[in-house]
Amino acid sequence: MPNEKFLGEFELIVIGALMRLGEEAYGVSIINEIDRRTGRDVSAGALYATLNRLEKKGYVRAHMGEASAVRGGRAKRFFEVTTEGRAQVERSSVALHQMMQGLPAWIKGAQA
Amino acid sequence: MDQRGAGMSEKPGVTLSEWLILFFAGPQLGEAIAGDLEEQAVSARHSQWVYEISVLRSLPGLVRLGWSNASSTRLSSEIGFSVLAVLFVWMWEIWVARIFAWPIASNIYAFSPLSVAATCKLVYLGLFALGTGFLLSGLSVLSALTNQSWRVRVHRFATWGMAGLTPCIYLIVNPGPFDGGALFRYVQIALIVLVGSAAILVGRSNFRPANNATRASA
Repeated sequence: MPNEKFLGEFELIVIGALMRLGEEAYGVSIINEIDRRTGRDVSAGALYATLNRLEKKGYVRAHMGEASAVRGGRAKRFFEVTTEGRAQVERSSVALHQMMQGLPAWIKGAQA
Repeated sequence: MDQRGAGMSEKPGVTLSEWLILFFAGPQLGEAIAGDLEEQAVSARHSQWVYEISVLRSLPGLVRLGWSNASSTRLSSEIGFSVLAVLFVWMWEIWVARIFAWPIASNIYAFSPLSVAATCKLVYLGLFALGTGFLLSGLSVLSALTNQSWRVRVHRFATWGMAGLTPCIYLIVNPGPFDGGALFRYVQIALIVLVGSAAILVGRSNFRPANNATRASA
């Protein structure tokens, strides 16, 4: 498998947020979801750079929504995880789980 | 409705922050990012400066995004065309405008109310305009042959910048086309590249990616 197909930590977090949000996944909701679950304050630029990369890898696809007044008349860009993206998340999760297994118990999730 | 949100939607111009977002992210993605930042600022009852700080915080990511999008075949073709345009303008200046400006001026200055030097400068600029005309005609032919009018639009802009502004600036800093030393030549080359690059970057706004399907916002 080519190197660029692997998911980085933040890419995994972003895809996880997309899967949780489903059809409501767009910039602000993704940032809020990541902040709520990981405490990570993500900038819009960093998020979109990652989403753009995931789109190029074929793990995420996007489409534009309609404009709204609260956004200054600008449209939302919605994101969803592709079938290939879901498969890659599964592979990464299995790999991560296998790597964590047997590590000291103070690492949360290592014994899961 | 929040006053700031309403105000932004009615604002006719583009602020520096929005321009930066659009510059790095392109029109469609830039609109979504600017909308997200606007929504965050409005929902948190933040003021304009918080919006600006959000844009600044996003800049590293936006630069990465811009670079990622720029390193495509599209930019390669832009750079390729631009290099050819720069070479053409440069060679035209060296082999045509510089060489023929003085002989032409010395023959026609008798009919001109201007001095020989001023006539020479005018001829020099006229030859540059002629070169630009040749280049634009070539690009138009290329456009007709390849059906790629967007390339011509961008490079027409770049060419006007290079072929029009550069000699003007050159003649402002330099007393005459023949008086420049090596330093002036380097300055001229740097100006050609600088003006051409700036023109191309601004011209990027001409590009419109294919529209994705839209759906109702939540």
